[in-house]
Amino acid sequence: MLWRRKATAGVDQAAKEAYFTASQGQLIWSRFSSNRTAMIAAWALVLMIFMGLFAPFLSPYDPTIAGRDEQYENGPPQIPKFWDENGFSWRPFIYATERERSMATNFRWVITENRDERLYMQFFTRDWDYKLFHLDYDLPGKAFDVDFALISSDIHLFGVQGGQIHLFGTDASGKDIFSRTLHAIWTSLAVGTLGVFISFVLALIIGGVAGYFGGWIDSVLQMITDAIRTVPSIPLFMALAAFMPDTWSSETRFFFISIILGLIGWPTLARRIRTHLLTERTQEYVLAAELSGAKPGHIIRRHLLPSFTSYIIVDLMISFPYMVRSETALSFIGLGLKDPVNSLGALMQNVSKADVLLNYQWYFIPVIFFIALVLAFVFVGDGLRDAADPYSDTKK
Amino acid sequence: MKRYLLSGVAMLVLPAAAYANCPAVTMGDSMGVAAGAFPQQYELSEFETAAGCSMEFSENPAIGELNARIAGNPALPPLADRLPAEPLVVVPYDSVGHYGGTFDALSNATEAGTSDFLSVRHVNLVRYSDNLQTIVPNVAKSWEWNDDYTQLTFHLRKGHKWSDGAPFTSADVKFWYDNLMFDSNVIEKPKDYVLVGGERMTVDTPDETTVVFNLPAPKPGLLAHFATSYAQGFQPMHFLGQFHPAINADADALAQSLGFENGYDAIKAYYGNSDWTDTPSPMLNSPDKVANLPGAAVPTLESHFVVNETTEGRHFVANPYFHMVDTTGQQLPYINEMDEIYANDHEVRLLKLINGEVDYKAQSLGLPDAPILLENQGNGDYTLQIAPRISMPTVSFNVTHEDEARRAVFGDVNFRKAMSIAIDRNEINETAYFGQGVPRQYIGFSPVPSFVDPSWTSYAAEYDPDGAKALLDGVGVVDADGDGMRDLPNGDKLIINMQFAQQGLPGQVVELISQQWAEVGIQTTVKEVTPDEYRSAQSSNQLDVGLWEKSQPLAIVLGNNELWVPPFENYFAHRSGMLWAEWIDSNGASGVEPPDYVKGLISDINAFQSTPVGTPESDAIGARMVEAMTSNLLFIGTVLSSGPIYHANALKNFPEFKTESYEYYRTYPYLGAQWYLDE
Amino acid sequence: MGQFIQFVITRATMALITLLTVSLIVFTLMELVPGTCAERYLAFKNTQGSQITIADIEAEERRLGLDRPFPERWGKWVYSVFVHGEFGDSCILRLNINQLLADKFWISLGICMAALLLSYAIAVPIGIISASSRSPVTNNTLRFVSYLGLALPNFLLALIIMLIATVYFGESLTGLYSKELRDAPWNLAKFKDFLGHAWLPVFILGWSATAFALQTVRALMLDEIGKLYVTAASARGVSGARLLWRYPAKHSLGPVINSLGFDLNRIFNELPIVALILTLTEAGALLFESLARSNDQQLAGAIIFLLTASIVALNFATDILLALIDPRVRRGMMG
Repeated sequence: MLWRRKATAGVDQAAKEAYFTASQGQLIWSRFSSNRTAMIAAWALVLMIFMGLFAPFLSPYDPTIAGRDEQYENGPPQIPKFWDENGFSWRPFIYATERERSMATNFRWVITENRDERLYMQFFTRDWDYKLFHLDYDLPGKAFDVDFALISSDIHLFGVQGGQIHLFGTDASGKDIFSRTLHAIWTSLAVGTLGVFISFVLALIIGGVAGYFGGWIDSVLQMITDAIRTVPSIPLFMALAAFMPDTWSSETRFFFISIILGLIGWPTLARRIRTHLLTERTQEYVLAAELSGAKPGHIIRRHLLPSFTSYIIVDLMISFPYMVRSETALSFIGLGLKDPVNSLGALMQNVSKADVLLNYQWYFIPVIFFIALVLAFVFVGDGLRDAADPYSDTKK
Repeated sequence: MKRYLLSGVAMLVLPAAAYANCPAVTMGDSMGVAAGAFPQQYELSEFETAAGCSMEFSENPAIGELNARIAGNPALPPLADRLPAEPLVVVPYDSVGHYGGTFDALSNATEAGTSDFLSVRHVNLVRYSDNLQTIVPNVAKSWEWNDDYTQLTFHLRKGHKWSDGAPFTSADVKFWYDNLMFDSNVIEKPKDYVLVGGERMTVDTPDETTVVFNLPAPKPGLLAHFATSYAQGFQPMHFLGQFHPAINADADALAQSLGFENGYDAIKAYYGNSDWTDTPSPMLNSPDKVANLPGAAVPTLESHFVVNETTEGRHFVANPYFHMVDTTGQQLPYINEMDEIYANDHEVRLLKLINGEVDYKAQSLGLPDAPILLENQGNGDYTLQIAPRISMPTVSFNVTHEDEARRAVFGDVNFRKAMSIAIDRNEINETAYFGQGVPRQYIGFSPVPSFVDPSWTSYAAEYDPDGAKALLDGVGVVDADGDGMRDLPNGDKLIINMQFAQQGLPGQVVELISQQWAEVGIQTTVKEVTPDEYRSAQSSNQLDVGLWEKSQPLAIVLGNNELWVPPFENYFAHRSGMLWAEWIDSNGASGVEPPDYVKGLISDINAFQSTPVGTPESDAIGARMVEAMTSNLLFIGTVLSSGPIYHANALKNFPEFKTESYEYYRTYPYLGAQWYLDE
Repeated sequence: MGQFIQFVITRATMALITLLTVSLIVFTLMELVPGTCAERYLAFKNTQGSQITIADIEAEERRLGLDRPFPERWGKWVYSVFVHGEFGDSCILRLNINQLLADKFWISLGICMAALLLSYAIAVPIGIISASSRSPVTNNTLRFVSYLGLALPNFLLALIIMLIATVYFGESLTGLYSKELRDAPWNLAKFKDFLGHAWLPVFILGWSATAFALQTVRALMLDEIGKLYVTAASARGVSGARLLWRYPAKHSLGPVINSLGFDLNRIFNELPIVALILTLTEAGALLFESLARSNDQQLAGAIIFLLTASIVALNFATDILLALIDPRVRRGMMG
């Protein structure tokens, strides 16, 4: 490790000083940034978050049913080209397509490219309307409805003149998979974040109380925590989700699923917090603080919490993939999010059909994004854990 | 000298030739034998005369072993004692088959999606032949009507036996009618097809092989009913009767000794509480008692008998006492065993079909499944036929909804009309049916009879979203809260819950309708459920919309009024107006009174069934019925198309089906008993 | 010895209490679904043309005991389950749940336990060996594999395998039995046939568990290897496999055994979806169908309860096992 060599070389006094006077955050960051895998994962994560955030801008077409391309259903991905037998072009282009179907083609649309007709890509095109950074939630009860937008626009990064371009192909109704994937990344992230947040708050309260006070409070809370932990979470999700009335709006479903995820996710985190608190509170520095007359709240805030902040951050990062995975599993079997609020899991719903397996393999593309997202989280979490642990270099 | 010798030899040989075994006549090669009175089959004497032969019967070499697997069956008597004196001689389609093999079938679940397999082994008094026009004998040898269609006489076959060897006689028909159909402890409310204009018939049995139905009023459709219905017009009196208190004074004691509460409880274990012949046997509903019972399932006249039943499937063996033989005298069926498994997931079923694990399937498949099935014909070694359908996917609104606000809206014909013209049938046709279908409105009959004004078939079937919006505005279903979706007149949100089962109609059609309705501002949610769940929700009046295929041919309507009387079909299919049905059945004590046009439909259908078809009077009634049904849009039709029929290439004697339909009872016209497996 | 028995009893009581809490959760879930059993049953009887009136529904509810207060109904359910092992009837399928589940639950349990054993059989040796290797390649490869276990959940793996199998091999690789042996009673032939089909679900279910276990074992080993007693032993001249096995491995096995229960939990988690994809006819598939396709909460509740009960039982067994092996645990749990 570069910084270690620098430190042990003992040549640069300024660096040594910087090291010893650096705050915890700076230390963590410097260790993290020298971990190559973690940095790559972090960039990937940032990229995906960015893609999700600006999904409407980056997607050429509306991901809901309103944006479908009726002329190109179940169509394979179209990759733009720069050059073909008709010559070179600075502007990337795709071919116009025609399709036909009859008993002879087994009723499948056979798509033929017209290589003489090029459709050139355009950038910053105008298409469907969207809002960025907006909140539009339709919750039960009119008082909770929210509708607020920061940016309203209809400009999109790219499009095609005289036709439509589908980078990842289309599904059975002609919806563009590229647009849907981008929006789905954002939804999966949003559900995951909300779920993690809820479970974190719950875990902090319950785990904190149990860990700090110990004794019978701890035992009772332990029993409840253990009971919930023992029940396999996905069957529990399924049972809760099945009870969701179908008439709820998608946004309500979204919130409800995040809440379920949070409610079932807190036991693990709570247990960790509690264990850590149990060991830490017998440490000498806590004893010292108590002897100096500090109140319990003060001790928890100023002494105990910082001692495992790094663990908490790491645990949060690690919980993310579990949340995303659980939500994906739920949506995959149809109990989670539905149109028009799509997550990666909902996109994968049709993937197990025989027809798709045999003929429309591009439906699997969201799977790749799912794996990439989860791996990114996991590597970043791992990197953070190594970076946050002051003794990690001796364990390598 | 030579001449004497030759003629002498001839004289010796000729009689032998005259009494040689019968030629292997098939539909493909009649071998010079003249056709009989009915297509594709003969009575024994008729065939022997026509072919100039003396039939020698032969049996399945494995039949002894198969018989041993039927619990409660006696040791196998010789073939001559098992066949009726006059078995039905069936002409195979392509070739005389050979015995053997296990037929693999696929159904959805217990009592769900089982009827196409059931129809393979089904028998009834008569049958439609494969031209779907001619009624031919089956269990009954012959029949006569009297002049004014108030008396129908059937002649049964002497020596015909049940699958446990007991004699089948006219008493079994009478027992079925009097003691099962009309015993409210077994079937609470008599089915319409055993009534004539709401009145009971009487059944006389002058001798063992003669049954006389005496009708209080004319009902020419009664014969067609026996040709198309799953409800077999006979049940074993010797077996079920022992548990029936009206037949056997010790019925209750006997039942209790076997572990049942009383006699009716035992009958329920065997026969169920409805006319549906595919109910779970005691092997499934009373496994703890089965070992002591006289039989594991109720004896049957069908071609195969169930020997094992679990929640995952059933197994059948050939019925040793089956009454049909082929033209060379081999006792049918050719196929030794049948194995049925359940798969409640559509994709799973498709995979099994693609991999060639099933021998025949048509039900629960739709044209949207055709591409993948067509492509894999080579791999899976099967053939897919595409045949026209009779019924089409229909949508109905719950006009007797529990919620008063919805009931008012759904009950408004303008609302229903709006929803009908909001459906883009061309898009459905193009997307789900590959442009092969015909957009159509539901008129009740399919195919369209001559007395129907053709304009009804396209009534409110055009695509007019603006017109729909205008109508909806007129009904009061407008967007009250500004969210872009219409609400009920009282301001509550209107979200229509569309629950469907793949067995009833293709999921793609439902999704398309849901999208099209969203475009006129009606919000919906779509959910696929099991057929059981759908039927259950329909029964308990919890559905917003009904989604299932519907329509019947004229011949069936003449015998069965269920499409025209609330709830407008039987438990297994598309019902609406549940509370109207309750009002009618309770004679006004509970439920909701139906509007006048519904009462008009009821009286019209009774009149229609009593009037000889084809007369001006009958035509007028029929036209009136169609007008009332269609103009009120109780059921909204979509697209009438074709459907796929799948069969393994190893399954021989499988003809081209004329239609892919449940009506005419699936494979029943196509003689499943003469199919054979050639591995 | 007396202490040990006391320990067992304490543990058993806690397990029972956990089960009771779980039963409360499950029972509450069952109650949440709209539409009572009475309505469902009578809706079915409607098929025979019998009319359902409100009075009929209420009478049926009384007959089924549905109008009693919640604690009483819960108590009855708990009593029926704990003492008689009877789960009652499924409202939708109109069959006895015990009869419906019968074999299927044992098969599910068998497959999951096999997956668990398989995953540890792979993870433990490889984890131990890899811990002693300092090579960054091994380090990173193992980390990557274990993360892939998280990123590629079992059901996705099942999907991908199905894809490959269907497209390239034309095999559907589904189901648990071949047709001929499906209805046969259990004998050697059927068992071998079952194994022939069951290897795939076992492999897929074990995949995630293997990935996790690998990481856990390795991390634990690394922890232990860093400790002083290992250095001391190594200084004394103990080396190689003996060094690994006698010292750090034994001590790191404790937490591994401890986590068996939760690994089983994770495996059960994936079971319904994998069962759906592979069309296994066992409890996981039934669970999915009862929750997603019909609203059969009785059946779902019974299955969830059984799954959890197995986990609790396994936890109990591992606790006892740990107490037998590890003296620290014995002392720790007493204090």
